[in-house]
Amino acid sequence: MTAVVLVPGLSGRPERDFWFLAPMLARTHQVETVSFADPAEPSDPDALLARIGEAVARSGETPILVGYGLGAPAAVSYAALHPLDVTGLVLVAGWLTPSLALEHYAKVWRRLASKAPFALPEVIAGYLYSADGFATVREPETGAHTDGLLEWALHLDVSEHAALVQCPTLVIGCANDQVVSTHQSKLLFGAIPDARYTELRSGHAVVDERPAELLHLITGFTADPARYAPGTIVEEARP
Amino acid sequence: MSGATGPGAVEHVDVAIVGAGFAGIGTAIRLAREGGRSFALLERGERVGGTWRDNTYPGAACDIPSHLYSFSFLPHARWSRTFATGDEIQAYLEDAVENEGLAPHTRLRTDVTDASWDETAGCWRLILATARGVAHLSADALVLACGRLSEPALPDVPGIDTFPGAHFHSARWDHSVPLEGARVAIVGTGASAVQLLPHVAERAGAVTLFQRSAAWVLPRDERPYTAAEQALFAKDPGEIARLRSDLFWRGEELFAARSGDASARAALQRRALAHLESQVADPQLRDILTPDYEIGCKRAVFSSTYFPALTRPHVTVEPTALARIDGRTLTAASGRTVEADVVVFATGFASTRQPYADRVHGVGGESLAAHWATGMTSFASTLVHGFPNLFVVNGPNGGLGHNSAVYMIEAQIDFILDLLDADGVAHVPAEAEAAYTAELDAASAETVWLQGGCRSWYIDDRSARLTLLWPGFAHEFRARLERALHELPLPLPLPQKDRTPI
Repeated sequence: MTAVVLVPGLSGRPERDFWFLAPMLARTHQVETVSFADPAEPSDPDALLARIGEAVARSGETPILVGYGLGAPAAVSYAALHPLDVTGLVLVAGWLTPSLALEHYAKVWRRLASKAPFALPEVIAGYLYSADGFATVREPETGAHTDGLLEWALHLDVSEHAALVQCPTLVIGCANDQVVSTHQSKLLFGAIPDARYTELRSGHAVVDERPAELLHLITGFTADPARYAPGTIVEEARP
Repeated sequence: MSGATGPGAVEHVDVAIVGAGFAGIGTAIRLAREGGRSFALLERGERVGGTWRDNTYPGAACDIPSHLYSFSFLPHARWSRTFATGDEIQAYLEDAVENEGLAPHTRLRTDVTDASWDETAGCWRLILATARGVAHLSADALVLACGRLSEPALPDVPGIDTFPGAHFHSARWDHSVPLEGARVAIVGTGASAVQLLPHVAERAGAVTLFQRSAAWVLPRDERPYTAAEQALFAKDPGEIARLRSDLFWRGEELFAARSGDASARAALQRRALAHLESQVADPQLRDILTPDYEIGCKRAVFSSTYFPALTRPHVTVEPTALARIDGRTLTAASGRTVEADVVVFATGFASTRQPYADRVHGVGGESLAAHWATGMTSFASTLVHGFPNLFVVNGPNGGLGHNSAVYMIEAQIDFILDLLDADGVAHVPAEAEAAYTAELDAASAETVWLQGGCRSWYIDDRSARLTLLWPGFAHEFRARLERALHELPLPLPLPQKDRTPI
C-alpha cells in the first residue's frame, strides 16, 4: 500500500481539513496525518517540520506528502531538506512566497479576532470559499494555535527550497483562491523541476468545496506519479 | 461490411447491440460518430428508451440530476428541472436516435432469442424473432446493453387469481384503469413506490401501502430551471459541462457513507432522520417509517412528497408484507385485512439473475447463465471468460448506489471502443476474471451493502456476493477500466473477411 502523509493548512488540524480525504484515502493507502494544533508547541518552522518528520517516520514505507494551504510550502521545505524521505509531493492551494493577498487575509483575521470575533466566521468564509461554494461553508478553526500558524505562514518563503525538490510533484491550484492566489500555485509548478499542474474550480477551501475531485487527483497521482511528464498542465476531468 | 452478400446469405454486421436504452443508444451514437463500423441496434420493444419507455407510472422521474443523468457527449440545454420526468428523458433518448442518424441501424420489435459464438467462423450468430418471423444475423462483436432493471419481478402472492380488480407491475402501468376514488393497494417501498405513491394518493379514495421494510428517504432538492438558465445553457454549453462536473463530484461525496466510514454514514443517516421528523409528526407512524438497517444498504431514495402523502387521512401504512389475496380482501403478514379495487406491484425487477443470460452461449456452447450459476462475474465488469468479443454493459458490478449510471455506461463504452479499435477478438483468461472478482469481493467487504443489515437486490442470494454494484467511487471505475486495457492479453486475429469500410 502506498503511504501518504497529510499535512494540514492554517487550521492546523488534520480532522478539520481532511475529514473526507483521510478516511477515503485510507481505503487504498496507508495514511498518516500531521497536526499543528498542539498549543504546547511553539509555532516555529523547526517544530512544524519536526511534526512532519514524525508522521513520515510512522509510515511503513517512504511516503508521498500531501500538503494543503500552509501545509504545501511546509511539505516543500521538508522534501527539500529530506530528499530521501519523500517519494512524491501533492501541493494543494499552496504558495512559493507569501502573497499580498495572504498578508491582507492575515490582517483581516487579526483585526476581527481582536475587535469583532463574533463576525469572524462570516467574513473569513467570504475569503476561504468561492462564490459558488457557499453551500459547503464550515466554521473556521480558531484558537491560539491558528494565530501562531498565521504568523509563521507570513514568513514561509520556499523559493529556495522549491528548486531543490527532486521527487515527482503534482501542484493543484484553485481557480478562485482569494487567500493565496492561483498564481502562487503556478509559481510552485514553475520552481519545482519535476512538477505537473492542474486546477480545480474552487476557492481556497477546496477540501470542503471539491473533496471528491481532489481525492481523484491525489489517487491518480499516487497510482502513477509519472503518468504526466514534468511540465504538463493537466486539463480538468470532464465526467 | 454490412448487409447480405447474396440470396440466402446471412446478414453480417461488425457490432450487434442488444437493447436500445441508455447503454445501447450511447454505444450506437459513439459507433456512428466514429464511423467505419457497421452495426445494428436490436430492440425487442416497439420503441427505444429502455427503462424510460417501460416506466410510465405517475411521477416517474430520475433520481440523479438530469444534467448528469444524460450523455456527456450529448448535452441538453432544455432540461426543465433538476430531476426530469420520465417523459422528458424518453423524449431525450428518442431525439438522440433521430438526430444522431441511428434510425437506419435500429430494428424495433426484434427480440434476440439466441446468440451463440461460432468458433469456426469467429463471430456471433444471432437468432432474431421479428414481426416478419425468424431472422438471422452474424456479428464480430456483441454488446449486451439489456439493462439491469428490465424484467419486472412479481411476488408469488397466493390467491392473486381470485382478485377481481386490476393489478399490474409499476413498470407495466395500465393507464386505462381509473384511480379516481378507488381503493388502491401499493406493494413495495422502493424507488418506484416512493415516486408513484404521492400521485396515486392525489386521485385514489384510499391507499394502503404494504411495507416489508422502510425506505431511507432523503430530501429531494429540486426546482425547475429558469428560462434564463436554459437560455444560458443553450448559448454556452460550457456551462452545462461545468454544472455536470459540479453535480458529479458532489454525487461522488455520497460514496463515503456507503464505504464503511461510520461517521459519514451516521451524518447521512441523521440527515434522513431529520427529514422524516420534519415531515411526520405522529411518533407511531415515524416509528413505522424508520428503517431497521443502515442507510444505503438498500437504495436510498429522494423525495419530499412521500412522507407528507403517508400522513394523509386516506393513506395507511401496513408495516408488513402482503401475504395473500382472497377476492377483494388483501391480508397482510400481520393478519390485518384491507379491501382493494386495484393492486400496484412496485416490487422491483430481476436483478442478480438476468434473463438474457439464458440466451447467450459462448465457447463450447456454455450459456452465460451457466457461467453465472453462482452469480455474475466478469473482468472489468464488461468481459466474460469463454465469451469472446462479448461486452456486457451495466452488467456485473457495473451499477452504482450513489451516482449516475450514465457515467458508468460511458466509461464502459470508452473501454469497448478501445477494444474494438484493436481490430481483433477480445478475450479474457479465467484467471483474470477470478482475480478481478476477488478484487471486488475484497473491496465490497466493508461496504454498507454487505455490512448494512438488509437484504437488497444488489446481492446474489446464491453466493451472498455483491454482484450488481461497483463497490467504489464512480471515478475509480473509469480508472480501473483504463488500467484493465493494459492487463488484457493481445486480441486474437479476426477471421479474414471482406473488411471494406461502410
